[in-house]
Amino acid sequence: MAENDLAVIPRGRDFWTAFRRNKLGIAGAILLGGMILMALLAPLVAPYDPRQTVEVTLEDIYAPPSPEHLLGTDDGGKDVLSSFIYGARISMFVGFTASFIAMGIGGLAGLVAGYYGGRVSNLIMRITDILLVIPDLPLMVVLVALIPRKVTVFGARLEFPVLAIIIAVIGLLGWTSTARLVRSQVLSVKERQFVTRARAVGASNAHIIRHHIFPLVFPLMLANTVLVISTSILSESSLSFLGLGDPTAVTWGEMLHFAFSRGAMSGGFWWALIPPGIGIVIVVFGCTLLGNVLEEILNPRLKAHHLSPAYQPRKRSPATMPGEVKPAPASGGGGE
Amino acid sequence: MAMLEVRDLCTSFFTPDEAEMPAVVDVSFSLEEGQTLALVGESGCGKTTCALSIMRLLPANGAIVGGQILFNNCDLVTMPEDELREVRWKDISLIFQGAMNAFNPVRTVGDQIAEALRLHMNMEEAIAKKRVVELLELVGIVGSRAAQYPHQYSGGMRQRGMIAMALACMPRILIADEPTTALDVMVQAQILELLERLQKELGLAVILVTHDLGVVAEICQKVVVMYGGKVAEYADVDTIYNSPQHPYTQRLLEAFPDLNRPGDSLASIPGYPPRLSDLPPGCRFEPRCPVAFDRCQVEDPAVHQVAADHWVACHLVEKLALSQEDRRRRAEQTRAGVEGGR
Amino acid sequence: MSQRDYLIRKLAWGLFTVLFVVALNFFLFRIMPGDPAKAGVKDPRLGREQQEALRVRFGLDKPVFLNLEGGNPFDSQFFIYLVNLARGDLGISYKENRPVIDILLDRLWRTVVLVMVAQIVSILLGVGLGLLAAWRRGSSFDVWALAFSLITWSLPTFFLGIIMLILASSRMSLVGLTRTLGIMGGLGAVLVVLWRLPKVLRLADGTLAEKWLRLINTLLTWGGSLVVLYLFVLFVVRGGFPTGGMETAGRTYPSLASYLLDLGKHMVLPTITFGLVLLGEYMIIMRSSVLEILSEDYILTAKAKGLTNWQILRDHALKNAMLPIVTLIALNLGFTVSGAIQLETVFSWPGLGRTIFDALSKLDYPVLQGAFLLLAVSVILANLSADLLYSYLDPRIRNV
Repeated sequence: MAENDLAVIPRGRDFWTAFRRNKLGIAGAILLGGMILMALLAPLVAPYDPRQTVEVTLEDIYAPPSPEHLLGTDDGGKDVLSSFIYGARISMFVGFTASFIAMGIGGLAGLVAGYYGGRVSNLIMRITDILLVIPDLPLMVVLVALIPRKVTVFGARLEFPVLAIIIAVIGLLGWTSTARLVRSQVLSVKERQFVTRARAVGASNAHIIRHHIFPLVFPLMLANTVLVISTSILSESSLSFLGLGDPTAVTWGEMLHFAFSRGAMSGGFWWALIPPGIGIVIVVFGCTLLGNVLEEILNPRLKAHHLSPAYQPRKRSPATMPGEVKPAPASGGGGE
Repeated sequence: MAMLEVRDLCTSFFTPDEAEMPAVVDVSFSLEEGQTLALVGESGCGKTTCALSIMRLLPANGAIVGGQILFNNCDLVTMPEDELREVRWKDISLIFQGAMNAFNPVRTVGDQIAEALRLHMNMEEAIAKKRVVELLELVGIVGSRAAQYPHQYSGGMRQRGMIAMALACMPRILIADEPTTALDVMVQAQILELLERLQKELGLAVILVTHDLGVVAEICQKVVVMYGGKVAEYADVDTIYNSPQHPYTQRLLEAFPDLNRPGDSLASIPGYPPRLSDLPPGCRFEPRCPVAFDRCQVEDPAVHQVAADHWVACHLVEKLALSQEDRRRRAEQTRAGVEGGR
Repeated sequence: MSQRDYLIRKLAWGLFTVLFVVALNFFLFRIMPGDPAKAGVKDPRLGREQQEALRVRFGLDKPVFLNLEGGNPFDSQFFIYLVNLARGDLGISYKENRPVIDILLDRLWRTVVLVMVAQIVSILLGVGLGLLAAWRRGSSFDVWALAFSLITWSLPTFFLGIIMLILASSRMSLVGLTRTLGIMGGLGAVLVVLWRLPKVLRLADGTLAEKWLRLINTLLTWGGSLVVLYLFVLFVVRGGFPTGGMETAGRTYPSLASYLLDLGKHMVLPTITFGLVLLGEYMIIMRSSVLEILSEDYILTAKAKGLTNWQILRDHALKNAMLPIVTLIALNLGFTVSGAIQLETVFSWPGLGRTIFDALSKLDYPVLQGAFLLLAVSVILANLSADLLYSYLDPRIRNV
């Protein structure tokens, strides 16, 4: 194995050229970027503000798409399009925040486990084993349902909003993949000569980690985090759909929860059901594409295997330089 | 006509943008029955690619773009795939560099050897089993180990197992790609001894791909020195060791530490082999060549015959040979003139 | 280490995990929500005394971990819980006043029935299609397979179920359906042509015909997928499948056959939903396993031996791919369980997942606790069996 194969992580301009070439990566980035933009510009883009209370009559509930309400209205008479646009905000906020927590915990755990090895590594890996084996949605459901909202600590009464609990739960359970990835990366970087050299010169552990190991591990960690974002968003939407979310928060999962439990199915009011789901799919799909492409660029795998069809070159290349004299076949008859 | 003749073989690798990286350019050599030929050079000089080209086992982004490989009067380059499959293993077989993973870890060694027997020789179970044991013992492995799995073999044993499997169908040619790299010295010696013995007992012709000149001296008769994908020098082993002509060959031999002179400092060839994407316009060795002159920078030397069975691709050698020719002719003319003048 | 040591280690670890989950279960449900008694006995009609009586009945008056008030130190909630667990007693439901274990067992088989069919079909299909996609890496089939897997992965299971329900309960006519799909197909074809056209127009060399052929190939693949999609949607929309529940309400079944038929009809939609999600997952994992395998040295050896591609796939790749597949199936049980919760909620299927959902809304803690424990432990045991099976399949572990 070449000494420098890890250093093949493309830097700066190489990375962008590789990225620009990959159409799927660009598609993913556009999808994700578009959604983020929409979320940020929500007050400007949405026709109504879903947080405002509206006076509704019976006709306004589950109204089909019309010029005033391009995607119709939901069970509370609110404009679905506006809810969809605003919903992007909290849905993605929860997803991103939970992933950063997971990235932080996972990165730290993986770093420590990989660098120090031995018992610490063993312990951390055992913890990830347990977390991986316990089914994730049931555990999340149970935790979110049972963690007390109101806690008295040192005489002070603290109240946790549901979203905070959801973010914490998703983050605290979602770090295992990051930890494993970081650990294996750290293990391979640790053996590189430049680390041994640094240690021989007398660099401290902290210095080595910060200047040598971390820069090589971080890009891959980032790629992994993008994928964790997609699972976090899926988790939040499942939890909200099952009724464990914040009923006052406008997230896509909540929209689906209300629509489903308030008769949108039986009434055939598809406009209350499809848009929020599509929102989830777009963001998750974009994240997955982006994350996979990033991982591919940073950790390239062979493009073909031994049974791949043979390459058919278009035309014969003039491999002989002009002016050369082709030698006589090196067989039989002696000299010239 | 030799058993195997490689004529002006050109193999290139293609990037996803369809840019061509020529890895082997105009390589020619021939192999007689029972001969051992060495393909020698630094890593990346194209020797493995050359070896793989012979059996058309290149990776998917590689392709033979020119030349012929004549075996029994058939050109292996243009042979259709199903015919080639008949030739593979039965006439020409191969052992890889690093046989660590060359065996399938979930099947027994004996089973994998028998697979070759079943395929090419249509052997029945019982006969195949016996033959497997014979083959293993031929390479010095206890026959009962046929029922074991590859991970139960040591590194050296796996390499020998690979040799046993490669010989299963009694091929005429064995291509051995760095068979002793990644093995310790004792095991190296065993493998070499084995190869030598097989050569004598079975009349096996061997193409040995290696960067280890010590190995070459021991068991090979002919040597092809490759550099940057081209042939630098091609001669029999005595000539290469005693009177190498190409500057690269000379430096290579110098770089090899001589146990008889332990006090000498290690010589090395400064610089790095050329990258396929960044080839120099003239001779590929020119940037590192101590005797390069102006012609070397613009023109890639062709292979030039300097003696019977000795070819060199170097402008300097050509120049010297020509000037030698020149002097000889002038001397003859002078003699003729002097004699004519009498 | 020998196979025996490996097995012992795995068993010990599995046991530890189970114990951990048991303790976690206890901790979650007794410690967390303050006084669970209040939750269970929140009925305002009950007076203090009756509440107290209920507390005693459910054993909630005892100390949590250790009883230090003389007598038996193990007379605490925790140890009583452990002992009960060993006896198979998971407590009594607050709402239904039945033993929890009875409720759970009654629901468990319904989940198994629902999930089993989907699992088997998607495993078989997923393994086969994944193998094909890996072999033909880069081909349009591979691209299609990847796209399919990616899309089903991005769809939350419950949303896919909702889509199915909408399709099934819509009363679109054949004509309407054909028209909608025709429009979609036309738009898609235009997009595909625009996507590929730049490549076709770059007339670098005389292989224009080749490029046109490739364009047509892409269009055909697209068209083929569209036809498949059309038939599928037709099936769901016009099939008349019930959109919820496990049995038709209020119906009696004169024979086992008629029951099975009715059950089957109810199973169609949720099974398809779940099958699609699982298929995507299996396909993509099989594909990456096989890709890794096909890049290994021994495949090149096999090729050098003169074996055909099919022989290599069959005799070398498939065998080696079985190992990660076994692990995958076991690991996926965790995912299955999560999916089952969503699936059963959407399709009103009276299984274990739905039970969790109902217990959640009714705050029936014993049932919730019991269901969670059952789910977690079964997944752990499934993983353990996979490990044990793996040790038999992988000769590197079986013999040292």
